[in-house]
Amino acid sequence: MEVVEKNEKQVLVLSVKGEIDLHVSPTLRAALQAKARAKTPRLLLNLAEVAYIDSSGLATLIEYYQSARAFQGKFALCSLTLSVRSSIELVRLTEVFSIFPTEAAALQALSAS
Amino acid sequence: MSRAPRQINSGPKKIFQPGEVILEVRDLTMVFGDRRVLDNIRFQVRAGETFVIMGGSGCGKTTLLRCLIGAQKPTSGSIHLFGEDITRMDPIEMDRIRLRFGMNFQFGALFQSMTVGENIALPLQEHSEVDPSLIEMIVKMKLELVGLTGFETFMPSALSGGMRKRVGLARAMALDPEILFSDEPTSGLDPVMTAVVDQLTLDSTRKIGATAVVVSHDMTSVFRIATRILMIGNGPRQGQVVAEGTPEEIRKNPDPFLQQFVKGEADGPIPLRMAQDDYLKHLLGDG
Ligand SMILES: Nc1ncnc2c1ncn2[C@@H]1O[C@H](COP(=O)(O)OP(=O)(O)OP(=O)(O)O)[C@@H](O)[C@H]1O
Ligand SMILES: [Mg+2]
Repeated sequence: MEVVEKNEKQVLVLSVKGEIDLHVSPTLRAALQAKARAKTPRLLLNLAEVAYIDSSGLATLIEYYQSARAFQGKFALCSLTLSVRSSIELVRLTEVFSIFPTEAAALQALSAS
Repeated sequence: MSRAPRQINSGPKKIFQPGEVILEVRDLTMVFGDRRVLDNIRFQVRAGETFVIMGGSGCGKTTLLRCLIGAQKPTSGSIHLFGEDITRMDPIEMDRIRLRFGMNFQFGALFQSMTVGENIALPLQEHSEVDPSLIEMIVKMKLELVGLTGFETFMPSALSGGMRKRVGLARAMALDPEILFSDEPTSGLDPVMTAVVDQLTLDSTRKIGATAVVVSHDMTSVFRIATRILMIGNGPRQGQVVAEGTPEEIRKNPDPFLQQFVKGEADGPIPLRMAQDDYLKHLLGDG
């Protein structure tokens, strides 16, 4: 798994590449925990190049969602593949995360808030 | 939908794309004493399928699943799971394979001294480095999948039979297996819960790309989920493949044995009882 970081419109965008499973979710978790410690005000995860996410990956996202909520940080996901979208739907988390079809739409929503 | 190659640091592993043969059974025979329980079974399962095994009580379905997960060594024949013959594997190699499949046992097989949550968490604690706080969330997600949100602190003895079965299913899915083996996952469930479990199987295979091998007698459920069906016989056809095909092919197959089973009729070639003579001999003890 690879994570590429950039700043755009006052939003920190993490673009993740590769499958997120038991073996790699600890790496994603470490990256997100660092962002939580820094109280990142606006974080966007671009998952366009994530073909698969397992339960440990989903739990990692929930954990970040919870910490961001505690410091009132904004958090969103964008550009989900069909498989990742299905995994999120299956455990009924679509209501929990802010999900946008494209990075542009997500950036607009996050920077406006 | 195709699943991209998985980047895994647990050693080389072949990647299975939808449609590739992920399980292949050749000439599998299982003999207990002088009883030939499984007789020359052969079939293939492709990644992304829901392969249903059906057949009368005692025809050898559970025995077959036990062979497929390496819990029982067949008398002869081979079983290629993820491309490797598990009948020739030593226990250490088998442990590596075991992480890639889940088994939902016919009678739940829960640890009675552990709570529901502890039962589901066990595979994650034993086989992964996932943090306990994340495991707790995964347990909750798996319970939600099987309609049991909020039951994590219950002991198995405080659940109904159908609830226990669903906990068994949640535990089998704890590690998000590439193949899920499920032994009568819907028996004892009400029609609504049956539909929930069937939908879960369908979503896991069609949307997430997993593969399911399901033993079932529930015809509504079988025709709802199966991509292919294998029927195993009993009586004079004990442990033999009676038919194999798509649900459509199975419906149209004129084999009287198969039709009696699919339609659930009492009259037909499936032997329900011993011949009158055999029964009387057995009862009266003069054989
Ligand atoms: N360890 C064993 N030793 C001797 N016989 C066995 C053993 N395991 C299973 N059998 C026999 O194999 C036959 C098939 O049993 P199995 O449990 O596989 O049937 P099944 O198709 O799963 O039946 P059901 O639908 O009732 O669950 C039975 O006659 C059983 O007695
Ligand atoms: Mg059985």
